Amino acid sequence: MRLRIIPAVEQDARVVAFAQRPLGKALLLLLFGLMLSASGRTDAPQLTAVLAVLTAFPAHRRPLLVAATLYWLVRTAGFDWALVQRIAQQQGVAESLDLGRLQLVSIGGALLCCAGYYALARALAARGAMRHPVLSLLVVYLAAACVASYAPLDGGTRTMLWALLIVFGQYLWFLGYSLLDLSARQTPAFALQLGHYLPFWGGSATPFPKGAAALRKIEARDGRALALCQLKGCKLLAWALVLSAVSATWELFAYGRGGVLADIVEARLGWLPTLALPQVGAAMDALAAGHPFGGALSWASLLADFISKLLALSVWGHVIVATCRMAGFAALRNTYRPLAARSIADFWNRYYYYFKELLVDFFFYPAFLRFFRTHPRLRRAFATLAAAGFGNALYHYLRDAEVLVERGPWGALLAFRSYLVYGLLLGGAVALSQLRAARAQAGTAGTAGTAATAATSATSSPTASWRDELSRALAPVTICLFFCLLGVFDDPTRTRSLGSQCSFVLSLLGWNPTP
Amino acid sequence: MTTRHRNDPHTPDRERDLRPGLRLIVRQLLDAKGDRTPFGDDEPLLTGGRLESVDVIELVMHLEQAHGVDFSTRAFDPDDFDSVARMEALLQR
Repeated sequence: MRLRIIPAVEQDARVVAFAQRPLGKALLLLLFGLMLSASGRTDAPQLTAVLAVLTAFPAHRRPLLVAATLYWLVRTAGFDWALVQRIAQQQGVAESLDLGRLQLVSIGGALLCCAGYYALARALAARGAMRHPVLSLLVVYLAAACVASYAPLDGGTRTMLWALLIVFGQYLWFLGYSLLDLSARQTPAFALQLGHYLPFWGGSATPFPKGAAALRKIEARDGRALALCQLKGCKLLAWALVLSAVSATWELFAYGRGGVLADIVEARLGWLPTLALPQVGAAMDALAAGHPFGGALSWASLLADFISKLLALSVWGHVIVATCRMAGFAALRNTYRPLAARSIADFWNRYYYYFKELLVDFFFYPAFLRFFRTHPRLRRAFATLAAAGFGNALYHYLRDAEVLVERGPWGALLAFRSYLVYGLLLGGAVALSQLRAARAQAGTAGTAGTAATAATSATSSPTASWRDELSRALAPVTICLFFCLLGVFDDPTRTRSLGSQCSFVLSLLGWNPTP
Repeated sequence: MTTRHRNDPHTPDRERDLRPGLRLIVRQLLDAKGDRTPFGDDEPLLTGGRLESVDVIELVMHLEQAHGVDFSTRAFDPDDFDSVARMEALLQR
C-alpha cells in the first residue's frame, strides 16, 4: 500500500458527488482560498472571488477568463516598471514622465501589437515572412530592440519604445503559441485567447499551460470533470503548502534564513540549528579572490543551492497549476517527482515541464522535422541541442530585458556566453541521455518483440540485472550531481565570467587552477 | 475485381486497419516508462500525461518509416499524436 501525505479524495465517489453540489463547491473554494492565504498570496481573497465566478458560470468560462486576466493585468500591471523608470532617468525624461499613462499605453500597445501580428499571420496564411511566423516574430522583436538601443532617438521616444518592448517581451511566447495554434483545429478567436496571455493564475514569460489548443483539450466539460479538477487543485495546493514548510525548514537549516521561523526556533532552543552555508556566488567570489573555501564547503553550498531551487520551483509551479485547475483546466503539474527521474532527460522533463514544453514546441519539433531526416541519431541529437541549447539561451536572452536594455543586444549577447555553455552542456547531456534510452528501447523491441517480454528475458541474466539495479539506484545521485555542476553556469546576474565559472567547477573536481 | 484485406501491406493507408501497429508502438513507449496500464484508442495520451512531447518523435519516425508520411511537407500538429484514433485519422487524411 502506498503511503500518501495528501489523501486521494478525488477517487472517492461520494466526495466527487459532494464537490458538484453548491455547498461542496463553496467549501472547496473556501478551503482553497484559506490555503492560498496560508501560502503567502496577499491577493488570495480576490483570486478566490474570481474562481468563484468561474465555478458558478462554467458555460461562460472563456469570456470570464479574459475578463479575469484583464482585471488582473490592470490591478497588478506586473511588468518591470522600475527598469522603465531607470531608462527614463538615463534619458533625462524622468521628470516629465507620467508613469501611469506610460504603463497604460505600453500594455495597450503590446496587446495591439499581438493582435495585429496575429491578424497578419492569419491573413497571409503561410505566405512570405509568415511561412515561419514565430521566427519572423523573434526577428522583428530583436530588430526593434536594436533600434531602441542603437538608433539616434530622443529620450522620450527611446523610453516609450523600451517600455513597449519590455511589456511585449513578456507576451512573446504567448503570441508564439497563438501562432503555432493557427493550424490547430477549433482554435478560439484571438480575443478569447487573451484570457491566458499572462493569465490571472500566474506564471512568467513561459505560458502555463501552453497555448489555446492545449487549454481547450484540458478544459472541464461537465460538472463531474470540474469537481475532479478542483479536488486535484486543492490537493496540489495542499502539497505546495507541505513543500513550503519543508523549504522554510531547509532554508533555516542550510543558511540560517527563516524570518519568523528562525526567531521562534532560536527563542525555543536558545540557538539556531543551522549549517550557515555560504551561497554559491560567495564560494565563487572567494575562489576568484584567491581564498577558496574548502572543497567540502563548496560542494555543500552547491548542493544546498540545488535543493533550495528545486523546492522553490516546485512550490511556485504547484500554486499556479493548482489555481489553473480550480479555474476548470486539468493542467499537468509543472514539477513532478524530479528525484524519481531515471535519466538526465527524464529529470529535465520533470523539473520545469512547461518551459521544456516551450522549447520542444518552438525549437525541437521544427528542427527534428526539417534537418538530418535520413540520420535518426544525428536528427534527434541536433533537435535536442537546438531546443535545450540554442532555444534555452535565446529564451533567456529575450526574457532578460534588463540585460538587453543596459548592455544593448550585442553586449547582452556577450554576457550570455556562459549561459550558452550552460545550454550546450545541458543539450548535449539530454541528447546523450535520450540516445541511450532510444538504444535501450530499440534493443528490447528488436530482440524480444515487446518491451514486456524483453524485461522478462533481461531477468534471466543476473549480471545485466545487477548492473541495471546498480545503475537505477545510482541514477538520482549522478543526475543531481550533474545538475548541481551545471547550475554553476546559470548565473542570473549575467555578470560572472565563463573563466571564473570553469575555475570553480575545476576546483570542485579537485583541481585548483589558481596559482 | 480483387478484394484487398484491411491488413494487406499493399492496401492504401486510408483503407487499412492501422490501429494494431499504432497500438504496438504506443505500448512499447509506455512499457519503456514502466507504465503497464492498458489504454483505449481514444484515450488522450499526451494531454493525459502518459506520453511526453518527446515521445512524439518516436511516433513521427514510426509514421515516416512504416507509412511514408513526410512531415516536412505537411502541417505538423502534435495534437494528431494524442491518441491512437487521432494518429489513424492523420494517416487516413
